[in-house]
Amino acid sequence: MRYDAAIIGAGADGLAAAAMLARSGLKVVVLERNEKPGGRCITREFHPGFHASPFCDELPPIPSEIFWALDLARQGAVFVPSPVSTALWPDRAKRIVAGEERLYAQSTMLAATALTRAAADIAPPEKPFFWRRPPPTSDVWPGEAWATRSLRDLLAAELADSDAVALVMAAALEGRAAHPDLVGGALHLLARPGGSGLVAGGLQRLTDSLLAAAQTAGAEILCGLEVTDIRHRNGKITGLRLADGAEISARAIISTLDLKRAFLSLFAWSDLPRAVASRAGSFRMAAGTARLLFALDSLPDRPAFANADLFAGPIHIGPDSAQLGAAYAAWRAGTVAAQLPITLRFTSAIDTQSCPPGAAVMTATIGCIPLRLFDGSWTHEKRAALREKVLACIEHVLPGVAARVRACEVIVPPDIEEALGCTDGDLWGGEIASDQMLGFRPWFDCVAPRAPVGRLYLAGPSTTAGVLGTCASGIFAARVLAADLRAGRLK
Amino acid sequence: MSAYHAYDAIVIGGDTSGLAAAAYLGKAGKRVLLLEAQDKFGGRCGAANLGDGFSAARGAHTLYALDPRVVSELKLARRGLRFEGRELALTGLRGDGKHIVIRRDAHDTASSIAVHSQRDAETWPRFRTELFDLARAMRPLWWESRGDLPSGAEKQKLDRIARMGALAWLDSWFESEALKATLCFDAADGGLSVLEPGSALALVWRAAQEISGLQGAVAIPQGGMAVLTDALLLAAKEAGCELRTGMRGESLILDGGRVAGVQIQSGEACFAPIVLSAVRRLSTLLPPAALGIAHQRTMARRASLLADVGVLLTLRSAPSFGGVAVPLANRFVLAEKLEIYGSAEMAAREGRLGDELPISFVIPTLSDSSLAPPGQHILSALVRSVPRHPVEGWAVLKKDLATRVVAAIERLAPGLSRAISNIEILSPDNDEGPITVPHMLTSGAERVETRIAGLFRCGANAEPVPAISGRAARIAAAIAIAGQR
Repeated sequence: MRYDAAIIGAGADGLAAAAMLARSGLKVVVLERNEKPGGRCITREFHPGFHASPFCDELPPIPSEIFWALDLARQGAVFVPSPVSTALWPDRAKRIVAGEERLYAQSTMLAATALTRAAADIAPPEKPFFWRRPPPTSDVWPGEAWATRSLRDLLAAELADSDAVALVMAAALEGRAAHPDLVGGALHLLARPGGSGLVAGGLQRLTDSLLAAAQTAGAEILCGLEVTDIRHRNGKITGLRLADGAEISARAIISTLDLKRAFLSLFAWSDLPRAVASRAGSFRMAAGTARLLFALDSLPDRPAFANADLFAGPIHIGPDSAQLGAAYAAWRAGTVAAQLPITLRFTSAIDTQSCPPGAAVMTATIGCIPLRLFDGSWTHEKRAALREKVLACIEHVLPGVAARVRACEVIVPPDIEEALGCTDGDLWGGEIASDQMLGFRPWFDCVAPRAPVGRLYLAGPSTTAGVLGTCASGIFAARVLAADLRAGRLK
Repeated sequence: MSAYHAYDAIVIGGDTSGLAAAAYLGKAGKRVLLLEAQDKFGGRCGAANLGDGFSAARGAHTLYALDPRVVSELKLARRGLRFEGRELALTGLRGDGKHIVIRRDAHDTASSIAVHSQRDAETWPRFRTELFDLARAMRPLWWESRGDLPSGAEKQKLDRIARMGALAWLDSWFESEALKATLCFDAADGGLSVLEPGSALALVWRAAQEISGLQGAVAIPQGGMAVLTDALLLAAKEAGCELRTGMRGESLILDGGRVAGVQIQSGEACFAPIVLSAVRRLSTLLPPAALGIAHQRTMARRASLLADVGVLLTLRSAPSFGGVAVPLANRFVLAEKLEIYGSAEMAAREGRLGDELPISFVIPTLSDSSLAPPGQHILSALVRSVPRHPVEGWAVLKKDLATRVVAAIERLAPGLSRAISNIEILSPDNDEGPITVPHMLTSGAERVETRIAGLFRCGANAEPVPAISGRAARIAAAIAIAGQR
């Protein structure tokens, strides 16, 4: 049996691509290594009665046209935008209302423009695909200035209030390993780690609705099957080999894996063109995310000076640019900084079903956590030490949290790598740097989704669309693949 | 031309750039006044008495960016400028004795790299070719007043390299940490971090320079840096310039949107329709109202947190590097590990000295014995990533820095501290903010021109990367002369 397209990875990108291709009448199969589809968009019970999404709470926004085209709302994926985000210090709080902050609006607009531009490269410009606005015609990409500035410079020029600078900085660098003073750091604001808001019912709902969309359209989703090799003959891909030795024949392949996995583990090094192998080899990852899931007996007490809607949105703990710099220095040295950049979300405030009544679920996203510590790997003791350090930081601004902790799960970069198969546990598929973003992602003469190997299409976080919008890179790859099939380029 | 102007042009600042600019203007028949605030010319390249018979510049001791056209057009060779060490090999010193020596000869270099990595030794010639080719393609932009960016394949390479930190770029070529750490030193120029875009471009910029006909060479002038100052001074004098010391320009006299002259601190006013400034912070000479708010913002660039600091050691005897055969007339880099750059930088941003610092040094007296009494030597070191605003203050930092530098060199050259007769720490240059990629990619004309008609920059800050070059002076003088015609 020969498929028109085989998609590696059943995350949001893979499922969206499958739904899109199956709808246009193609025979599609999605191969997922894990027992369940979803990738990072899953929700599980981490303590009896308590549910949380282990790897992230928010995603980059789904372009609205994709959202409506796939009819995700009707399938149950309802995004609840965070109404507010707060920076909390022991003595004061700074609150920013979503949509009110010009920089956020600007960054969302720029990200959308970047996506539109990328789409314009692959779709005829008279048929705009995302955001009906036609792509801007100026030659200089509007975000170019962001690529040549540091995050601190950009924020200092735009915001007068130093607390607001600290808050936006913390939001842009949430869960990342980056220095606010280094040039190119402003791109983090463009490719913000969140922005979609929470999904009612957890990210699993998004996966379920994408899965329903794909299956209704007729795509096959096969879980528990790991792809080990891409088979190719005369420079053209013929199919896939699975871990159990079975082979699947397909006319084209979409990979939603990160760049290093896609090229360096699915191909033998010697089979790849030398330039491709060396580019993929020198692509830089910047893993730095740790996640702590807490089951709490009850919501902590709100500090008297804090806003009433504090728990409804992300809370950045005591952000400070010097501290972010120090945390980055520690990350480079393979240690865990004394003061960590922490973002808290009380997901149970949105998602009341995720825990027993009265109790609360709190997730902490921590940046600048090294993949490997200078003194060896992450042991049980080191995880416990991290938990204590994080709790101490939280306790400092939200007294009484530690006493309410019923259970805690610690997830560090190696866990993410193992669970999701992303190289180094980098959730964003490669360092966000000026030579690895926009027209340069994954690299300058490889414009995703077409890979420099015939019949292979790239989606996922190592592409520009992959870090700017959820599902967007999968849809891009699907559209290009379908167009190539129709044009007879894959005969 | 009205008789109202006492001069045709005024040059502020009598360092090498200012002198070169004055000489060019004088050669073109202009009546030129050069104002130097100190009582002698040359700034950091002037002769200085370090005591005990040592006479060397309080500043850099090597030249790598001096424009060969400035040398020939101003007849500097005839006026005494000769190069002693014509090309200093770059040596990465290592505690284990496996030093990396980077010379012009690719084969020799490769064999010294092969000790660390065979693969890197094979890659080296390719890297060097690519670096030098791209550097040559960049010369029109960096050397001429209205040069273009390269096109075609070189443009693609440039696009990529301009966005990369030097560390990432070198990582994509080499595996040996020793080699990368040695090469990184030159990339961290101008307050850039080796992690930041621009630092890879700084390496290309270095490779685009030419000294005594050799691309990318580093040389020591015979008789010290003062010889360069003397030659330029002679050129300016013979071109009929009026050179005055002890005259500090206080502010610029503006007439509408044009520059009209310079107000001297002593109360005197000098008038000229053209003013060239070699001083670092030009904005300090301008009345605030002369700059629009937007322009003020661009002028007030991000304050630099990092500084490069010079350290001069006078030695009673030549140092020896633990019996390992290293020719001493080299340029040495002390940075065995790459993480030194990151950690020193991060510490400096917090106002502290890093535990280990990237240091480079030369011993100019080995190639030119006239700088020191017989048998004695000068060791001139450059330390990167020193905090510009130390939390403990400069006095404490200087002491600390001296100890660290001596300790770091002594680890490889045992007995050094016994030979030291004097240590001098030079204060860092004025803060101009770190260089940026857009600045490095603008044409010469845009770098020297200002918003005010008749006013030009001609100093190190108008170069793509600050250095003793004379190129900005040459461009500024040419534009000023052409504009007046």
